[in-house]
Amino acid sequence: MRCNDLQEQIDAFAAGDLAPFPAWRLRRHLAHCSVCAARLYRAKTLNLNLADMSVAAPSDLLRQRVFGDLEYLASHGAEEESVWHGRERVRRRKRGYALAGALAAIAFTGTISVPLAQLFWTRSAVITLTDTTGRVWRISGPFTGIINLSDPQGRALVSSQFVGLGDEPGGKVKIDVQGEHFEMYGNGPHPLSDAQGNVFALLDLQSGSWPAWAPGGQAARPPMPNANKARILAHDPELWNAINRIRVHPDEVVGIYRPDDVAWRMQGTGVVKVLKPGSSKPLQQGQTAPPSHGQVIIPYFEWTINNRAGQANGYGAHPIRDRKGRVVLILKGEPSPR
Amino acid sequence: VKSEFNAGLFRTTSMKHEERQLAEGIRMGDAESFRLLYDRHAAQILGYLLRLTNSRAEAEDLVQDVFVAAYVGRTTFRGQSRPISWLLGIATRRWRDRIRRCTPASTSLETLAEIGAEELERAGQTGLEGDVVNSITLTRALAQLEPTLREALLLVRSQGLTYVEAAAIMDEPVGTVKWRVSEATRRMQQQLNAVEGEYDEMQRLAGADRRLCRR
Repeated sequence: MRCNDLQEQIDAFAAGDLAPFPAWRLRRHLAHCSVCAARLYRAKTLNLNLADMSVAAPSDLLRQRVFGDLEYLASHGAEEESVWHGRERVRRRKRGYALAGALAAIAFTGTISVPLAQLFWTRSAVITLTDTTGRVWRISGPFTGIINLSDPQGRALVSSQFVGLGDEPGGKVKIDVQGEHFEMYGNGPHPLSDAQGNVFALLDLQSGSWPAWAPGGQAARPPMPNANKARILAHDPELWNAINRIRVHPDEVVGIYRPDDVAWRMQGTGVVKVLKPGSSKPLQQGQTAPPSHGQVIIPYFEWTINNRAGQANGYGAHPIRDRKGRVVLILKGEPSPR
Repeated sequence: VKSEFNAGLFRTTSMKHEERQLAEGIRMGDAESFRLLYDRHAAQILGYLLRLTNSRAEAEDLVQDVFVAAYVGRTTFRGQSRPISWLLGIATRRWRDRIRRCTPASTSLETLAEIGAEELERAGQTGLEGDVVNSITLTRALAQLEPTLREALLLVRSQGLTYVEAAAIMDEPVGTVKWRVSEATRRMQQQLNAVEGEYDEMQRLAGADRRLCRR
């Protein structure tokens, strides 16, 4: 037997697909050939790994979507079923247009308390709103999960669901404010501010399909890597005027310290940006703990406020408030480029 | 050589009584049977589609389509194959339809890492960090296979179908499926060996660095 001709048989043997006689011959060969024995070990490992990845946990949201559709079909009878595909597309498209139209009609002028009906059921769902200075905001997917829109005091204006959008768990919302484009992702409230810097609404993203290991999930957190970290300092009661004083020092944790004794610290593996509310241009940017060879890029950041573990973690925008609850800065975590 | 694969070729899977009852319920459009079908097989279908598409959102869309198509086409399910085989067939056709309609978006390495990193949770339980790296490497190697090879490998080696079942799903002769599985395995091994070699080299260099530092 020549070792080079045996790979096919070894693969079949590892999968239990080899007939008894060739299997017996191969076993006899394996007993004295360490090269082929190693090949067999690798083939078996590959098969085990492939079998391990045969399942993935579906989210509750997916279940709702599937049974929502099945119930719809069951209640509309055989005729509906036969043309389901065509009609479903039209139905979803119409829903999207109706929704976009309804949302476009809503203008945010000061405090607004118009509760919106549910259903963001389509890829074309768009929220359009006008802020207190007349700028038009256009908020669209891809996003999977619940979106709550509230006024700055946290009173709910809209609570609804985006379903099945995006190319990653949770996804992101894209925002277009009269020619300026940026994105928001990560669970939690994202402040929207008008041209004068006043926060006029909070966009709260609650992803429905993050897996357990991801930022919004419940999994045990991976260990913190001991690599470079950054430190940002700012000493001024009015952070807006102190922007140019924020500095980045390598090898330290990102931190923003204010004279009123509130300190925020953020650490993890990735890029940290400091932004003004409603702006996409970073005031400061720091790289924390770049991933080393073979290391997984861990989507994990941790907050502490006055040495107490913060509630917010994960990539995305984290609003920083002063003691009166005003959003003064946004700290945004992003994955490190590999 | 031909006879050497016969064991796998003619390995058959018989339907259990329970599965026959489920098949009957599906044909009748019984809601409880569909609930059972989803509970038993949704994770497997999602796992399969996730590895095909490399996108969780797209895979979930397709899972939704699969179960709706299964409901609409329930009368065509004659119960001669296992329910999972039937669903995987629908999933494969849906995925092919989708890639025919639009070129699949290229998947970034980060996305692949994220998919692979779902194993983090499992590794957290077992404490085997190496498994995480393996899983990510495997996910990347899979993503680099041509769609037909990936389909065959996933159906046979990951989902555990027989060559006959996979051939019926892929609408190809059994011999073609066998060749594809074999070819896909060979390419995966090549990829994994390359990564392993690279990793060993890094370890060797790191070891040399440490020795130098001690001096």
